[in-house]
Amino acid sequence: MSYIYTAYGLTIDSELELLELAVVENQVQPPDVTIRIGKVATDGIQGAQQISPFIWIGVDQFWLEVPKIVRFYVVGGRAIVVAPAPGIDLDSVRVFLLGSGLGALLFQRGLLVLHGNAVEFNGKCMICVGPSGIGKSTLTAAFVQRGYRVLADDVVPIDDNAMAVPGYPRIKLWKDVADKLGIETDALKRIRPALEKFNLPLHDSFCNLPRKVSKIYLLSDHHDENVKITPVNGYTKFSLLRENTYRHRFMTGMALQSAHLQHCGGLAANVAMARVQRPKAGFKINDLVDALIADMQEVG
Amino acid sequence: MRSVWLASYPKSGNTWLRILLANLRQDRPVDINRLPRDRGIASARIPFDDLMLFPSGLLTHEECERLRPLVHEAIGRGRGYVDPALKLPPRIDETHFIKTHDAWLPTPDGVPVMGGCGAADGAILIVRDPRDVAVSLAHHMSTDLDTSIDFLTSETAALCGRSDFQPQQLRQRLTSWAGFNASWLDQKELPVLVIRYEDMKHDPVEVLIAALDFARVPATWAEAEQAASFATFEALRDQEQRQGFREAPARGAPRAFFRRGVSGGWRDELTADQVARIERSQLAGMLRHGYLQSSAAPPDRRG
Repeated sequence: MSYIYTAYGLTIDSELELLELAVVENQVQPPDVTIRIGKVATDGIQGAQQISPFIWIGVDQFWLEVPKIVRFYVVGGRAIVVAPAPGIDLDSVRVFLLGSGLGALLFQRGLLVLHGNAVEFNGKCMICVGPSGIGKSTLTAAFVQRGYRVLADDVVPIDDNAMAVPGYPRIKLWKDVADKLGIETDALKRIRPALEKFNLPLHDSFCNLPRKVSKIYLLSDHHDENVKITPVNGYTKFSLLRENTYRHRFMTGMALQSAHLQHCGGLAANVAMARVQRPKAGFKINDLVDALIADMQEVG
Repeated sequence: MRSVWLASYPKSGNTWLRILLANLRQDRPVDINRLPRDRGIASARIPFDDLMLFPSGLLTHEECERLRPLVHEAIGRGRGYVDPALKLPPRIDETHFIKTHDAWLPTPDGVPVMGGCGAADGAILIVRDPRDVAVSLAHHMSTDLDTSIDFLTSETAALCGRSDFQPQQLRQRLTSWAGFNASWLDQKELPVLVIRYEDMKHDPVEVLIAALDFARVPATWAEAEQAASFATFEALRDQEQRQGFREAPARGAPRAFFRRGVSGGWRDELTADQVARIERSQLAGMLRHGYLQSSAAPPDRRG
């Protein structure tokens, strides 16, 4: 028994039910990716490079263990073997599969993967990148509340034509953030049983087609009381793209560094970029959304 | 490479000591907003995520704690899997100084969260009169004094311990003021140098020399004097007033980080009941660090 889904422009044949993903009916072509539950070596990959205590990477192979939760083996941008730890719930397995597991697979397929969200704007899209915890998901949810459609939250792959590729039709939101935005969490599913972080399904607010990237914003905070947007030019654009690439150390072992530099260089040359700083005290989410909308209207 | 923890209960002078150290061998005062942030504190989320390459934000507090010894071992020693492009912790010569507000406690697997002697060579424990800490903490957390005293006397107190949002740092279990200090003093893995805030206030040069000597960083008296002159309380408060301090409390109304910097200020601010609550519950720790009971204490208005 397996399920057929679509995400990142790929059809995925999965033995593990992935409730968060869009289901594909009547699939006749062979799938792009298969996900199977099976055995994964406990000690990494022989002959590959160990880049962290729990990650081994070869040119075409990727091995990850999240201790006491799951081990993955990702190969050739086509297949993922999942070995859940004894007694673990499948929600916990899924959250790492859809993040690190699929993230590594996207790298293997040669995409530039940014750590951020993508929101549709006038038939194109804006991308907001930045470190974990800076408020990217809050911003995504606030755009949805204003009626905008979202392509991806957290992980945004970009193809060779500077098009952002749609990911999963959901946002992961902490309880505290949902409360502040007035989003009821009683009916939402937790991403893991022990975390007060919820899956917010996007339904019609999901944009399921690729969109040209028109501007990339780097989100950070500052002590000022106002939202401030500052253009970024030249080499800084390039280095910001590198720094905000999703898990850029994955590429070390994949021999992808030079392709990645080319990707970043190409995108930097063709896309406008800016830093956007929000107040550290009292997020001011509405001001932030207003400022970004006003700025995007100038980009056209 | 050597590594030394700067361990303290919050609001005990840890930042001040960090600034004193940062000013060593500088020819002008260090900008307080240029102190290392993510690499400078043990509980920062970014070094954890950078090393593990899966996000701490998807793990429970206990799961993170289980993995923290590996992070401290890799980063404190500047070795292992750490990407050479990553920023290292602040250091003087060959010694890293990393701040922590974590009590010395075991993970669910029974090893020290801080990674034991594999992660550091020693710890400087900074201790401050808990009655002054209570006042400073109330200001910092924007709470009333009774709430800060509840916190300071609670054996289950923690920083960043909520689980309904993602704080910038990993959870730091503190225990109580006395519990915190005892946890560091009674562990058997690392040598500890105890520094009292009150002594730092009274003679910063001597304290700085002692801290550097413990960390095996050779420094002359003149160098320590110069650093201390750049980092007087007044100089730091002036810097904060002019340009703000990014480590100042972010929640609630804007409040200064460098506020009074006095010893014994609690006498003006705590009620007799509040003093008694602290003294009763923290008695053993207070005696151990030479903080006299209020009935017997001589006034200390040096600051």
